Amino acid sequence: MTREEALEARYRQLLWAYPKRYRRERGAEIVGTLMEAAHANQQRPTAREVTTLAVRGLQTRAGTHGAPSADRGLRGALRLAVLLLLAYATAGPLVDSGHIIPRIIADRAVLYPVELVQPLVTVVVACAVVAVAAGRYVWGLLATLSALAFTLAVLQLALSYDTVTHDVIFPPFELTRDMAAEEPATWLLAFAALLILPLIRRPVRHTRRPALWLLGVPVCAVLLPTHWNVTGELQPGTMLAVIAGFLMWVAVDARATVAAGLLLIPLILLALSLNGLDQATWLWTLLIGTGTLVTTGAVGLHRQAQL
Amino acid sequence: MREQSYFALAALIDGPLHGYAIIKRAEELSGGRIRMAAGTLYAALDRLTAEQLLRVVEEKVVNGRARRYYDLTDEGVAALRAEADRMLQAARVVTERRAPRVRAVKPA
Repeated sequence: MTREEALEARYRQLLWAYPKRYRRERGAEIVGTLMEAAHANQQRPTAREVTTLAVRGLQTRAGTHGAPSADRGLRGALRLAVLLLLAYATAGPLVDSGHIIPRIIADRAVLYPVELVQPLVTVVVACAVVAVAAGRYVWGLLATLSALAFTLAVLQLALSYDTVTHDVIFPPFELTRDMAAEEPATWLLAFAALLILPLIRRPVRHTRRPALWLLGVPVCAVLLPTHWNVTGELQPGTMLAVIAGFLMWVAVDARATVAAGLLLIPLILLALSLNGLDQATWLWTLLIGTGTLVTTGAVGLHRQAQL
Repeated sequence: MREQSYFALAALIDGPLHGYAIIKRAEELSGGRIRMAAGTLYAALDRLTAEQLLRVVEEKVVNGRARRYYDLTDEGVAALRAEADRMLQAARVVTERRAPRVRAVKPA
């Protein structure tokens, strides 16, 4: 293989970041331009060429290389925020169901009937994820509100059901309210429902394979803090890594950076409702993270909208 | 309009060019300031084509390599002129103003 052929082969490999269809249509032309621009004795692609091709390729995949208007970019950010919120809201009941179902199967008995609602909540929020990803925003809103209602029902019934005497005694409203405020899913689902409203009025383009968004659920369970403390030992490290990752992602898709900033808002509300001032470092981490992500993302959206 | 897009359009004022020729012409017109990487060029060409400011006028194979030749559309010429006028007006704010006088400071 000659030096020129080897360099051309390396350039072809570098087009991996572009979608297959784009590579088919433009790949030969781009490689031709790269070869013309290469120095006489160049052996391998330069660092600048590698970085640019990777970032531009990923931008093409994300659909942000075509200067979407700032308004379209903002609605895209809202849609991504809703999907992240719902995926995160699914992660909680999924982990809980993972504790409940094996125990019921092993014991062949239900110790605590109310717990059976958790798998139902998981399925309903998962349906909301798929509905929003498919662009069915009204269905997404209905599923989100249903999941919120189920979550509140679980709380109310859990507080009113005596596991020893099997009596049902309804607790005072204040107790239910305080418990709901300490439940992450309450804030996540309520905020997601709020953000779906503008999308119903002015919808944005949907994903071709909406069910793939469900893969985000286990990722959220591992990387984000949960009420069930499954990743207790990983926090706040993974959370900071997520914030840093979304900050860097602004070079590819500023909508995702704004969406990640919005994802942290329910966590701030939760931290405040859990006497966040006692955990000032965590609260400040969330506040600074949200501010940085939203500001950086907004600047990125403005830049992406330029021709 | 981004500076790269402006010079990519300006490179085509004298007629259609292919990718590498656009990079070289833009570099020349900008006095060496704009040195577009191939990835950046094709992102700009995609944006400008989607906005119908550019169009592909010819496709051919030269020395075994695929080339596409791009040319300005009427909208592209208009957008380029509008951007040039905007920058000219902005420049006039400074260039048509008399240079501020330098005041001599008396020693105390």
